Amino acid sequence: MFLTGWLFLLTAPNAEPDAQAWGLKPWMTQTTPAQPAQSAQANPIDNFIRVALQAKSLQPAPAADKPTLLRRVYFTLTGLPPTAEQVDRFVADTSQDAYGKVVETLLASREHAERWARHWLDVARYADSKGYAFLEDRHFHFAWTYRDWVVGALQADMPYDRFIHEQLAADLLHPPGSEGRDNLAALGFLTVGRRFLNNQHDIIDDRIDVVTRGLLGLTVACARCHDHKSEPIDQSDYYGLFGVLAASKEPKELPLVGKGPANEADQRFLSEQQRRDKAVADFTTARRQFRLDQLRQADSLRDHLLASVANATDRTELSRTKELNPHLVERLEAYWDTKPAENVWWSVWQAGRKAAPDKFSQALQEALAKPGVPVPLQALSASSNLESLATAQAALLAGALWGNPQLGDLKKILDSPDSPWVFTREQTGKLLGREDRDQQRDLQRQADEWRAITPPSLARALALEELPEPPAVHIFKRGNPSRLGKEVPCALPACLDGGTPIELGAKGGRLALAKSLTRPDHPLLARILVNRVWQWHFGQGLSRTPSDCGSTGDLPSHPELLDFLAREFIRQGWSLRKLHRLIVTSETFKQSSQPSDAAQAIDPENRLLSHQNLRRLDWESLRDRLVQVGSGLESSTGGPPVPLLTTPYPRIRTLYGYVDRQQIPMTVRVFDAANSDTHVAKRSETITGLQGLALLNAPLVLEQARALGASVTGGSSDRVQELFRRVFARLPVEAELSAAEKFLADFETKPPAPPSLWQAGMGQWDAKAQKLLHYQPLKHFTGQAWQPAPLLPTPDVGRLSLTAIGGIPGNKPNQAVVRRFTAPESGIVMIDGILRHPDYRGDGVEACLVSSRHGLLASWKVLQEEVGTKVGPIEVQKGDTLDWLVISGGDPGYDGFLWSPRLSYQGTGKMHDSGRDFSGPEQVPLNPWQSLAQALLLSNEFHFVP
Amino acid sequence: MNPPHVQFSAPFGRRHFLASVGTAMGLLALRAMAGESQANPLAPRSSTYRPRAKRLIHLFMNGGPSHIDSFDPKPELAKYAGKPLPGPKLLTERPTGSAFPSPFKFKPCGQSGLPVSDLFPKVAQCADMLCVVRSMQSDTPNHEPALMLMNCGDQRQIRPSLGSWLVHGLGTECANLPGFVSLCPGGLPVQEGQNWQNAFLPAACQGTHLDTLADSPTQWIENLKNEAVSPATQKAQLAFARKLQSLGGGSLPPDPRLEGRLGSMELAFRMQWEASDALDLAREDQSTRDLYGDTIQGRQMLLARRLVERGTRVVQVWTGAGQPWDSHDDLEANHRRLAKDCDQAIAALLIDLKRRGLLEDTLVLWGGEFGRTPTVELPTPGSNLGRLNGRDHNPYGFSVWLAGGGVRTGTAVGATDAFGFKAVEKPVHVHDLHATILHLMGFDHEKLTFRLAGRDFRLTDVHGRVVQEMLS
Repeated sequence: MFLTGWLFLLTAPNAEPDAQAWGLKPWMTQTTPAQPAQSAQANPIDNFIRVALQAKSLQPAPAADKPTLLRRVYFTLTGLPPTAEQVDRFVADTSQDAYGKVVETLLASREHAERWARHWLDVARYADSKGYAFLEDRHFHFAWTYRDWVVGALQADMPYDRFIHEQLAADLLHPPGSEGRDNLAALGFLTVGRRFLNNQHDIIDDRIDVVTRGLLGLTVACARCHDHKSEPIDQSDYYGLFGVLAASKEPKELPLVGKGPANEADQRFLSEQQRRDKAVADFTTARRQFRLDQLRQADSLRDHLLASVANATDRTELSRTKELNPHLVERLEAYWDTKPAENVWWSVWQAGRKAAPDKFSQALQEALAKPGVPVPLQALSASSNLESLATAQAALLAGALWGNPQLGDLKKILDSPDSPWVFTREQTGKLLGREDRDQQRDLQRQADEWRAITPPSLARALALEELPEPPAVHIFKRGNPSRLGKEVPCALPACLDGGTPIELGAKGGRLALAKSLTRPDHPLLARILVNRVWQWHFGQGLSRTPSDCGSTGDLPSHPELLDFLAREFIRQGWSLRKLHRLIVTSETFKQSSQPSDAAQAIDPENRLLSHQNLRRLDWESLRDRLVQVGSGLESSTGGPPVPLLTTPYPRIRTLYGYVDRQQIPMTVRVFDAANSDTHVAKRSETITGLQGLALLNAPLVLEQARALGASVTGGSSDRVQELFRRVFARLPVEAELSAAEKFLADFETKPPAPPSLWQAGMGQWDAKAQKLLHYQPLKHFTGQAWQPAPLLPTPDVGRLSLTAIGGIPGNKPNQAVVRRFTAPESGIVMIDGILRHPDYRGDGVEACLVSSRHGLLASWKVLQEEVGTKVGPIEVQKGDTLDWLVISGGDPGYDGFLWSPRLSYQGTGKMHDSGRDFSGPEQVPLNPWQSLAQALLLSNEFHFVP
Repeated sequence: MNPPHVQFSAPFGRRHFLASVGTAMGLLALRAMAGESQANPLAPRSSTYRPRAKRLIHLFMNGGPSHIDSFDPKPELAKYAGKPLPGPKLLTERPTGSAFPSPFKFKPCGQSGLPVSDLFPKVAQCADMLCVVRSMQSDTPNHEPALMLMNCGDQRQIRPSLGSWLVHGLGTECANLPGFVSLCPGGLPVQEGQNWQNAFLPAACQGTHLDTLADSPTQWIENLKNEAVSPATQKAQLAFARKLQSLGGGSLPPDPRLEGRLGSMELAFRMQWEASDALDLAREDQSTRDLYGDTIQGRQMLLARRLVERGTRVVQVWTGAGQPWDSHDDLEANHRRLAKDCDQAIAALLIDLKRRGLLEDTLVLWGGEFGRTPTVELPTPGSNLGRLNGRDHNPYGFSVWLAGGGVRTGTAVGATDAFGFKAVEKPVHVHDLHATILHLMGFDHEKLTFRLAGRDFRLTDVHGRVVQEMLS
């Protein structure tokens, strides 16, 4: 009985005291179970499945009908449905290998690579943003090069072992100057994680997690703070990997991938980028020098000396009147009690600072009288109190720092690494003042905004490079980096090799790691992968905890099958394509999803796979299908991501949409899209009212229904038939047809909403002429904001946008964001509102109200405050416009404002509130065909694949 | 938005619908596996033992309000005004100097005589409803990790928020509304949506952010209205989708998810009016609206009450975007302004909950991510304006208060030292606060767990104890 070993474990877990993680068990003796008859060419998968079914006296379900099978294989391999024509062709093809031909076509298609790339991106916690980044630019800008690399690798059927090597160590496989440098994009696997405000320990922790859970199904991250409670993983395993990953960093200049500068425009782009980057660096260097010089002035030296020895009250007073660097004050305060401060050049100052006021002169004289006191210190002898001593000492220090040759020894002290006045490049932040940092941030923002529009030909890899000096790694006791435990070597977790850690070395450690993980004799990597692939084909894995093969993970339902597949996978050269082929050509995959009564009673969870599982479309497949049957899906070769819910809606596949891990839109989140915070083992599947709201009302869905309904022509019955073919790739049955006819007959038109009186726009404010020039409406709507481009910022408009409650002006002088009201009738209006500039930084915004009839009516300026913007009474004629426009106060940073004005007509009391009336693009009511089309999109048949 | 004037016929009736979805969910629950559940994560569930509170309103004073100026009087500070405090100096985020006595006056309030400063005159009138915890402790003087600790029980790692845990544990009593809502006017607090993240819990447990600076329901919930399809047509569309199902369209095998999906869309149809209704403050009578005040804070407190009243499990009410209470400078003016903005609204919330009988089983929590130092913050270029009239962050000792279900009222628990720097008597760590809240909501904090990656995760990790002194 081949099941014995596992049954033993299942029934008597305590009988084997060291019950081992299933992923770590040695290979099972390979036993393809004796065939339970049937077909001679049976796929080995079916043998395993049938033996287990027989043990429970269950029968496999019959094969699914051809249209069902075709839909299933299209969805599983490409994430897209077949067209009606493709179904027809398949049904008509009665040849033996009809199915096989379809499988081959699909496996070779780009759509297949796209679909499976998305699965892999779940594992790789892919996102286009860093997560919360405070004021830093939160975009990665080039994460998509990793996404595109995955698509390319899958389409080329890159062997899985190499797929892993590249993702862990492409930089080491392809050193500068060698071939294949484009593969550096693969390192995104490690680098596209959340950035935790640049906390290195958390970043490395995230990378350890994606390697260990993602590739090995091991929960190593638990061992950051303590030895694992349930697995044979201890802290040295964690820090062994920590050392491997801590030995690398992202290069300052990310390497170019792809073609490189293709033309003059690319060259211009690059030089502008270099100019902007250089501006940041030059500014920082200049301010750094300025601040260093400032601290070396005699006055400043004196003030810091005094502050460092003052009590809290005096220090408070000094802080009020002098420009002090608090870091330097703190450093000095600590410095006086250290060894270097015992140097003879400090002896008089030390004596003075410790002396009681009445014994001050005496203490000074005693100190000066000591042997070996350098002559220049005699300049301190006249000091009568601490203040005059500080003045004299500061004069000496200044002399030394500015090069007095007699004070060379003192200068050495001041320049030594332990001197409080020494600020390394890394410590520049502690030198710079508030204004410095604000300006630096603005320059950085300009550089980042430029980077955001990098042409695809100049794409870069989020690569890694090794540090010249890898740091020694110690265990952090309880995960606390300030409590160091023993030093550990860079090594593989010991449990992988029966308890012996294999040392990897810090140099080349990632490549050594990759190579040891892909050893063909070790089952773990392959087992985890084939189980994932199985899950993505069947809805659940053979083990249902695909990222946890540990002793608390779910035991595989068919361990022999799992090992067979893993071995076969390796034997076939780690080819994913061959693995897919093996699985989707099995009878097990092809069987009907109708369960037998016996199956429902004995195996309600269908772990034995007596039938196929009914699959619900995930977010990507759902949106792709909506767009495919609606406005039509466009093929794409990748490139920078595009926001999918900003109008006009892009028609590319969902894979290419912009993923901001910090703000996944509600419409996406409710469909259980991957939460890219951490590695996703399995999507959750929920049913909520918010999903219903999205399908009923989301403008994206309505637009598809409109396009779909408009695309069918002919008589009523023709149109219904065509709709069914387009949406379901089949014809309606009689009862469906008559239900549709009834729907159409009963249809009630929604009267169109009155056109909005408010419009969002932009223009150029001519302050001299008091006129708004070049007004144009904003074209893109994100769901919350109108803006001039799908993704902000751009160098041309910055973050210019308008929402129901406020907005942001452009980043150019006088580039205005405009809220325009068009008067529906003539009358006298009163205008009201509150304009706020809520940020405590920046220089505020300026605002005007302009009438097309009367010109400038009022203007305001706000900085970190709010003003009432009451105007009126004003006469308007029907069709007049009123423009509330806002421009930057000069500095284009921190210009977000809040302002949703309203107006009321005198006499009639009619009120128009820009906040309440704010809306997206006008919604044209759906006609009967479009409404019917939407009804089809709501149906279960659209959302499930049997 | 007008009511639809459409009634569903019998099979669509509300009771029938809830019953049928209930059954479908029940079946799903049977199918569910620990940790990888297919059950409806929002279906109402009972807690481990009888809860004292069924819902939570967390008034999050983000930025760190000063306890010394609000609920923890420290007269000793006056003696040291302008002088260094005796005793060891605790390290906070930035350098601080001499003692800074509170510019606000305290007086005993209510029958209990609980002292409250004149920052909160209206809340002071509700003193007898409050349980002030004066010995709160956090682990970090920085906003981001302190927010994560207060909300999610862990400074660094990605863990579910308290609200997500409660929705996971209890579900929601109104499927027409999100189970966990975070109200914040004018944008997002520091650390943004991570404050209400679900992490590894089902996505439906995540907090839904509503920007309460806007004042129309359709701007709060995406896809709530439809200008292109009439209600009657929507109803016909849903009936048509159901008809296709009953005709066997697509040859789908029997599966509870099929009915679940159809039901959820019918639910969504009704949500268009019911959610709008819940969020429409215009439906309140004038005296109630006057009680809360016509302000942003008044609006969001009233909204919080309307939401919990309708079955939302957890509502967070944030002071505002960024970190408004972070008074490194001009503490007196800033705290005065911030408190004035919310004092009336908070008192109104307590009074309103009480008179509606909701306070009995609603827990109200007020507090920030930490408190502030009793010493004045020194000027730091780039960090503050150097005005020497503000306070730095203080995680060593600070105050929060609770009111409502199961809380011992009119009392102060624990104490800080003579100056308010450090909790010295009965310290209550954030983990302890979490454990106590879970206890009040009917859970043993060690047993409300979620299995992931072979480990049972919980809000309090390996910490936390229930603070008996806070319980009635």
